[in-house]
Amino acid sequence: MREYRHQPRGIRNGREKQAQISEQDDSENLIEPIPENIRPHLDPVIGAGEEIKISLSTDMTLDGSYGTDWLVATDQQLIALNFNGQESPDITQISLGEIEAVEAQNLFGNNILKLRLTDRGVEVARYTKSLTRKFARASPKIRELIRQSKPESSEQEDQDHYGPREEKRAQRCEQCGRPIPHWAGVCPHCIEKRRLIFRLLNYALPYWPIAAIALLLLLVITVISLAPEMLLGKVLIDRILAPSYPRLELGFQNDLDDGVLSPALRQVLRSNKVRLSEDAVISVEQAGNKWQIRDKDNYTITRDGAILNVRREPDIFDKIISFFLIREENPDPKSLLVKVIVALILINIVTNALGAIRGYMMAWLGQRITYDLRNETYAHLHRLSLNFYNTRETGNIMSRITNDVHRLQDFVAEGLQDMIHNTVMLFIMGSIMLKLNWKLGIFAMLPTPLIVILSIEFGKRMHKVFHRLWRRWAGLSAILADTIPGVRVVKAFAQEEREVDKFETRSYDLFENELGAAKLWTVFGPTMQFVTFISNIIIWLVGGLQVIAGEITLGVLMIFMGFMMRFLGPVRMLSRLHQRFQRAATAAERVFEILDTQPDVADKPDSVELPDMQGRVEFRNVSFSYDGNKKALDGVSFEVSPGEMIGLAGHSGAGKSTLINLICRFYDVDEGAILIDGVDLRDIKVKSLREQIGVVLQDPFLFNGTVAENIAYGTPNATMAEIIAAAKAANAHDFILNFPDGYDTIVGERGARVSGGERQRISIARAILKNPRILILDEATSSVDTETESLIQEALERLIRGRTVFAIAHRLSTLKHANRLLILREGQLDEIGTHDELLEKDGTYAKLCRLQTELSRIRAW
Amino acid sequence: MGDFHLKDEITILDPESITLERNRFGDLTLKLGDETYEKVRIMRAFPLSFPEKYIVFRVRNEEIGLLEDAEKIADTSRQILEDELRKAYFIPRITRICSLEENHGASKWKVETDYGMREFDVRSRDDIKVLPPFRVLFRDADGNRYEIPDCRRLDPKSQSLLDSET
Ligand SMILES: Nc1ncnc2c1ncn2[C@@H]1O[C@H](COP(=O)(O)OP(=O)(O)O)[C@@H](O)[C@H]1O
Ligand SMILES: [Mg+2]
Repeated sequence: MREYRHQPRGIRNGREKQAQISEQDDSENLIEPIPENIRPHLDPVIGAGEEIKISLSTDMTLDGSYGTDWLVATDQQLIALNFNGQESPDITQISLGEIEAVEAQNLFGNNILKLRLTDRGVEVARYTKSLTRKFARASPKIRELIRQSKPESSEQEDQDHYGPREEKRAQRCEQCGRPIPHWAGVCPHCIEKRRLIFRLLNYALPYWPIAAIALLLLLVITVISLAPEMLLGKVLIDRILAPSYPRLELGFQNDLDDGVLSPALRQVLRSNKVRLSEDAVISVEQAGNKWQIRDKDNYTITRDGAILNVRREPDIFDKIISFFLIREENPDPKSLLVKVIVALILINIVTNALGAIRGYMMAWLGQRITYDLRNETYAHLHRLSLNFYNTRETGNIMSRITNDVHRLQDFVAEGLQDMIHNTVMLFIMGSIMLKLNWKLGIFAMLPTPLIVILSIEFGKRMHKVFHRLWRRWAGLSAILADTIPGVRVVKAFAQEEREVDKFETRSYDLFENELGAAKLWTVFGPTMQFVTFISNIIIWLVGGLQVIAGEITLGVLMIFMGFMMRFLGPVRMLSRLHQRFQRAATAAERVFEILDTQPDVADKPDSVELPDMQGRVEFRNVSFSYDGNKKALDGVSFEVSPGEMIGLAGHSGAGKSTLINLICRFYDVDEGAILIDGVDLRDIKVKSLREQIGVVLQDPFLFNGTVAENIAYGTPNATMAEIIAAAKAANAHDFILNFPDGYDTIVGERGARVSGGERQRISIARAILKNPRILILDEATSSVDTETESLIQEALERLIRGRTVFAIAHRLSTLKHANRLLILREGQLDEIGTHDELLEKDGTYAKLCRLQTELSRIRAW
Repeated sequence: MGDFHLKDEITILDPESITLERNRFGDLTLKLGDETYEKVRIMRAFPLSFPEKYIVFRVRNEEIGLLEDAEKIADTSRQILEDELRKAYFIPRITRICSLEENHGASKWKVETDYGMREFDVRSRDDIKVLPPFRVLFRDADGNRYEIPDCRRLDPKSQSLLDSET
């Protein structure tokens, strides 16, 4: 829109440009494919040279039942196909030239699109609130078509909307169409968890060496932490406390017959639980009284005179243990015991030390990521335009920065590693158990699916119950937050009993729900314990039998028992993994939604600074709507010269504050343009613009800091003397000096520790210190008593000298210094002129004036 | 109606031209060039952040002007100014914290100040303010004020007591 400066006929140009943009944006949406059954009705009425510009289906028919009508507009005519419960539709054709106005009537539960012709009105479409947006785009387009069809027509804008105020609608997910719960802000069904998790991991990426080392440590710890069980079973029990294969004293000699075991020897071995396979003897190295039998890889039996040494062939675990602990062939049990004890102590120390190091690293990583994310989100929040804040609750935005970011930290730092840790742990334990004895291993893991199912089910229920509880709590707090500040009203109307009853009902509801939660807990705990108990019993039973049969050693059974204790925890954790992912993903989405939102009001690359603003303000046919539906400002044009004071008046809701919001560029105009010193607002750097605009609002916002800090809020470089001077000019100096802490007085949160009038004057001082070219006063005096008002008024009079001023006031008398008055009415410029001119004109302003004089007479009475 | 200029709003006193005296009633008298003001009141604009700067002189409720830096006036006058400020702003300095009892956020302090021993109650933690880096201000339940100019200079026991409250 930079062309404005070079082309005098900027308005036309702007409008065409606007139209082009809207065409690009909306043409797909405004032309729906026309289905086969509609075509035959439509084709005969559309001429050869006509082009379809709009074709939209409704979700109601004109007679008020659900159904589908069609509205079609070409470059020459508008066609409505209304079925009204019949087979073939009633067809209404209206040539565009006939149409005077297009009205979108917002009614309760449905809307009607009505055309106003020269002599009659025609309803052409009726639709529910679900289609409001679609048709809201349609009516301007129709108007545009009309304008194009009769270029000479007057520029008169149509009355666009009337009817009840549009309710705030639940946001719907753009992908699945489900309503988005307001606490979530994002659709929980459609978030792509995996993508989010990866994006989250991006934040960990700069610190990957730390993450990698921590993960490595974790794996080492996981492996080492399984060693004590193995040592206890394999060494302490099987080799020291209860060696399963003692030395056997043989009372006979002829045990070996040409390399075959004698039945007597077999009997002895069997009774000692040594079971050799039938053709067991693989290698016999006979030398006198000594020989050795190897049974595949099960046993080694060595005979030394009358002594038979039976030794189970070491499995992989025995070999590992031997490698570390037992080097000699037949170690002394006592020294072996000492060795085992020392090993256990060492393992404990090492795992704890490594665990501590890892814990600190992960804490650092988690905090670091939160720190980055928190700051990035907060910085981005300040970049966003007011529009973002309009559609969201403050609490919701705040919780994203605190709770959600925290939740992400928990997930990135602990959640992922927990998952890896638990998976690895389960995998290793499972493999060891299967390797030790696959049969017992399978039996041991038999109850696992049951635990998984139970945990998931319980998790789901718990989630529901807690959600319900949380809502009950919120409801109870809401009552408190409502009635305690309103206690004067309660007392004045003697409603204490009813309030107590109300509270009691809610409180009882909460009580019941708490009990429900308790029930769930009390049932779940014992159930889980029972399942755990059953899996232990299975091991005792199956493993016990195996020990009796000599298939496993007692030590192995103990290893299984030990592992079972540690097996179930990770299983339960992993079962809840989905939930954890879900929660983290939702949190991530909520945070990323902020980061992904682009500010509506942003500098263009070629934006200019306006360092020496004169203060000439021009509105050219400005229209603006907050919701894309109802226009808050509608085709407003006027011009203000530098140093002029403009009083803005009009009923509440007329658009006065909106006009001011647009000058500050809190929002961008929808149509037309605002020019300052002849430059389009959108071409000026936002910062440069706001530096030269001062605003004093009805209920000024003070930040929690000292009076001096608040005065210097927009001008951090101001000297103390300047701050004092500004306060004097704002009639604030005297009361400030009378605070014990003077300018160092803390004003409290939102300025709670100073009175309304004082707050107001502090904010005026703030505006004075800023020394803006354009000053905006939005009902600056309406919330204070008359005496304070005169002090403020006096301060304002000083402030407005030499600046362009826009002042909104309810009491018209406060606008007496205004050079001109600008009267708004339902978003449109109603009257503009000096006080006397407007009185003479006897229009809205004159009426307002008379009304107020009468009112003040009543008051004075 | 001339344009608005911030510097017109405030009278900055020239430190050279200021003479402070006491008249025979002991009231503060300000001589400013040819003019003499009797029964002058002085106020600090920034009692906490700049106690020796930005001193406002008033007579009855009229403002005479602002002295930007008390150090810049003549020595005799400065002595009088300091005496007067010490009277107007009685803020004992805490040199030692003897004991501290806390209950439910309120606290009872027993301290040694440059004016002697003192016991006071502080209603809540909001009334203890740390001005970075090391200055600590107290406001007791009755509105009296105390300060610790530099908490690092306190003895270790006092410091640890203070740390538990800030
Ligand atoms: N943030 C907003 N979101 C949606 N609609 C708004 C918003 N602010 C104002 N409006 C609507 O715009 C219209 C003009 O409001 P406003 O400019 O505040 O009027 P006033 O003249 O009383 O200052 C009103 O109908 C109001 O409901
Ligand atoms: Mg308003």
